Order: sequence, then structure tokens, then C-alpha cells
Amino acid sequence: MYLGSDGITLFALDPSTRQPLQRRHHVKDWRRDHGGPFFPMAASVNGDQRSVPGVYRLLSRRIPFSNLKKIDGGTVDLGLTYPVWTYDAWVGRAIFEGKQYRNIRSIGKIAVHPFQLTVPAKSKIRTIMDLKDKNLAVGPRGVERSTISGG
Amino acid sequence: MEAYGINLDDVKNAGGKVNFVSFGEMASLMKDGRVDCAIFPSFPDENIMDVEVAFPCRCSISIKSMST
Repeated sequence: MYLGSDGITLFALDPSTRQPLQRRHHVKDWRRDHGGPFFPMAASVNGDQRSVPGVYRLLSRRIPFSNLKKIDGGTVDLGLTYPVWTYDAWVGRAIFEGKQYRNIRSIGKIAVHPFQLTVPAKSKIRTIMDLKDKNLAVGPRGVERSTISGG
Repeated sequence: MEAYGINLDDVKNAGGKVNFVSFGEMASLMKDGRVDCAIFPSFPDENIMDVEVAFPCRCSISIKSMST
């Protein structure tokens, strides 16, 4: 199974066990209560949220590992997560200690990298080394570790 | 960044600045032109989209571009 080597990966149930995707299954955006990166994906699958009440269920943080468990258990159809957590689930280690989650399959990737180094389109910044003397905004302390490893 | 041969201390020692702020604040700083680069943890992201309303952006400085 392709687990994804980086970035944010879209997962679904193993096709051999999964039921056809139906609205009643509710494709869920598991990120944060104000939308998040998965919202556009879910919107494209299910249509406009406002016109299809109940299609989404917006839940709180620390969800990428919950996603894997819920997908494996068949309570949701689609989810997004990070490759490190997926590998942990597949082999049954760390937070997934005691069970190997094998009822999941990667069906695509929505972002190539786990972090997006964003610059104005006209910026002269082209490489990582170009950041050396620049003014950077890197997010709250510890977010990289928590994003990648769930720690 | 360290894997690419640079860390946050290098940025500061070279005269740069590192801001540990919320993602929403990152978007505001970028829109105001007060930071040169913002590192968001996801894409698509509502904060990147917020900046894009103000001006076009580029995301994910690639490994390929690092070698050029």
C-alpha cells in the first residue's frame, strides 16, 4: 500500500471492504471548527455545505490519527492525515500501539509538502537559503512537531 | 530547514527575524508586507487564501529550486 512519503494524504477505506460513498455517510472535514485545508476537498465531493445540510461535521484538533481509526473502523469514508501517523497506524506503534490498522488505503495527495513556504509571487526568494536574512513567520512554537508527529 | 543547511539561528544571525505567531497573524503580517515568507502547515489553507485575496503568492519552495 502506498502510504505517502510526505505532504498531506487523502485516505479511504480499503475498496474491498468499503461501501459505495453515499451522502448519508457524510464526508467529514476533520480539521478545525473554522474550515481548514480539507474544506475545499470536502466541498468538491459533496457540493456546497450550505445547500447540503449535515454533509460536513467539523471537529476539533488532534484529528489526523482519529481519522485513521475512524476510516479503519468504517465510520467515515474519507479522511486526511500525515504520512508519519499513517505509518504508525499501519505497523501499530506509538499512539496506535496494540493494533495494526490495515483497512485503509491512500487514494491521493492534496499537498506535496507538509509545510507551505509561502512568499509573494513577486518575491525574489527562490530557495531555502534565500531565507537566511529574511523576516519569517513560522507559526506558533512547536507546531511543526505536532503537525508531523502528533507530539 | 536544518535538513537544507539552514536553521532559525542562521536567519537571526544574518539579520533576519523569526516570528512565532498564530497562523491568522501570519497572514496579516504577510498582507501588510511585514514578513518575507510565512510557513503554513497545510494547503489549501484559509490563511493562504486570505493572503491571496491581497496579492498572488507562491507556495512550497521546491527541492528542485534549492539546487538552482
